[in-house]
Amino acid sequence: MSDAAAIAWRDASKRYAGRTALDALRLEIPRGSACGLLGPNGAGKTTALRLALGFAPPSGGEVWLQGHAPAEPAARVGLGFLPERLRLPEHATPERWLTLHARLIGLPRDEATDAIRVALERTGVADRAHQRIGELSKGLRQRLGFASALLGAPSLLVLDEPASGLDPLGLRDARGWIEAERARGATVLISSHQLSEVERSCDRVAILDRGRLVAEGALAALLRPGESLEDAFVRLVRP
Amino acid sequence: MSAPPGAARAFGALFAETLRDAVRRRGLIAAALASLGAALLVQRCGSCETNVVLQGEDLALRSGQLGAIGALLGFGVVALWTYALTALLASDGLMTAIDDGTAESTLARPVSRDVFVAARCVGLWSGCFAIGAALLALVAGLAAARHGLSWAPALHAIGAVGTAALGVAALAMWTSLHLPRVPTLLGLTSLGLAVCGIELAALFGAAGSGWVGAVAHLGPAWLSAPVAALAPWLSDPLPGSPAWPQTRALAWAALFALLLRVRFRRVELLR
Repeated sequence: MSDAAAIAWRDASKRYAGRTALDALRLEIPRGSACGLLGPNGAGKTTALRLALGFAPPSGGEVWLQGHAPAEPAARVGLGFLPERLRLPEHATPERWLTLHARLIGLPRDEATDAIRVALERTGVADRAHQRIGELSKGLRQRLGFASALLGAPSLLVLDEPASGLDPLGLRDARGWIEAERARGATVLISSHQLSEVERSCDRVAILDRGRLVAEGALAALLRPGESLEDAFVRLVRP
Repeated sequence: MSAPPGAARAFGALFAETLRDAVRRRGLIAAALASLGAALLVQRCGSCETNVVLQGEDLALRSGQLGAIGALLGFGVVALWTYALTALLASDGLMTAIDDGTAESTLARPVSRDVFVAARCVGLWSGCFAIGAALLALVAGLAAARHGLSWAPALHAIGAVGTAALGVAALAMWTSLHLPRVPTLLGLTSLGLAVCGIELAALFGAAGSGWVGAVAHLGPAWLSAPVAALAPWLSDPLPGSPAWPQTRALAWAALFALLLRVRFRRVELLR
């Protein structure tokens, strides 16, 4: 794989119960880029992300995460992840949950305290830091998911449907966080149905359909003159 | 970017979180209350005096032996209760972490699956074993105070129960990765009753043959390991080497832990 790739799928496939969820995906996410992973429902986006994060092994081919096999803990150093269906421990408080994650990413205790405070303030959850997560609204939970993903200044940010549950103000804030991470030099990979958000936040896109890669490259190169990302998306997945 | 945490640090953080979860669960609180009730019951029963008159017999010796047998029975009951509590909590301890997103969010960090599953297993086990060990220590304390029985065998027996309970926790988690919770609990209960029944029969001299004999001589020694440790309390020695049941308990606990580790490495988190 290319050393410049933060994530690389090399002919990666995933099949379950006779169904092919991902079919020989060959794709690299360059370090420092912001890439949108697009596709209709069932296209294989979430499967591709989960193979990359080591949640499941590929049925065929290879996947590399930051130069390592995804199952190796070293592959997930500096990784911030926001899952599509964010599930949080209802009984914990945001502060306690982030404290656990600060320890898991290896932040020293004094740095962890500051990092947690900054993450909570940045995402607007600071005044609910000691409340049970089960009592938080869906939007606040999503903000807390962002706080966890942004904790410790990740070098690679993987966001699966980051707009889920966010109101327009939340969407605007999320866009700001993503832009700030990009400006800091982090690699960002966003899987989303919100094409307008991807168009604003990303410089590259990869489009999947029925488990196969149908288009990939710089956003500017993919769009025809006068075409929006939505137009290009429809053109590519419904030829 | 922060340095990756050492395995020990990640284990410590996850162990503490699992223990906190276990304590928070109503099951463990109910078990602690039940333990208290059982302890009070043991205390009352242990205060009975032998009232047997046998001509020409050393009544003091007979009384001490009855006390030892009573304490041994108490140990056996508490050991079984500790295993049951451990199986109950461990049977959904791992699946809960998978279902509530804890596994996913943790394994997106630089934490190996081995560390995660070990912390879940040991965290749950330690919560259950702490209660069991306290109750066993109470039985041992009463036996020492009333019948002059020494503490050393009791401490060995508590260690044996702990080892066996760790194996039960690993086995329960491993089973829960294959079966829903109710079949898991039914299967573990059946297995536990069969193993302990065979071991009890073997202690009374009914060794059996075939697979029954194999369980008696090579099985996990859930009951026979603590009983063998308590053998110095008895005037008549138990058959076989006292170290063999302890070795078996340790070997089976290691085997169940290994099975759990291997299986969890292959679990797919795809929801």
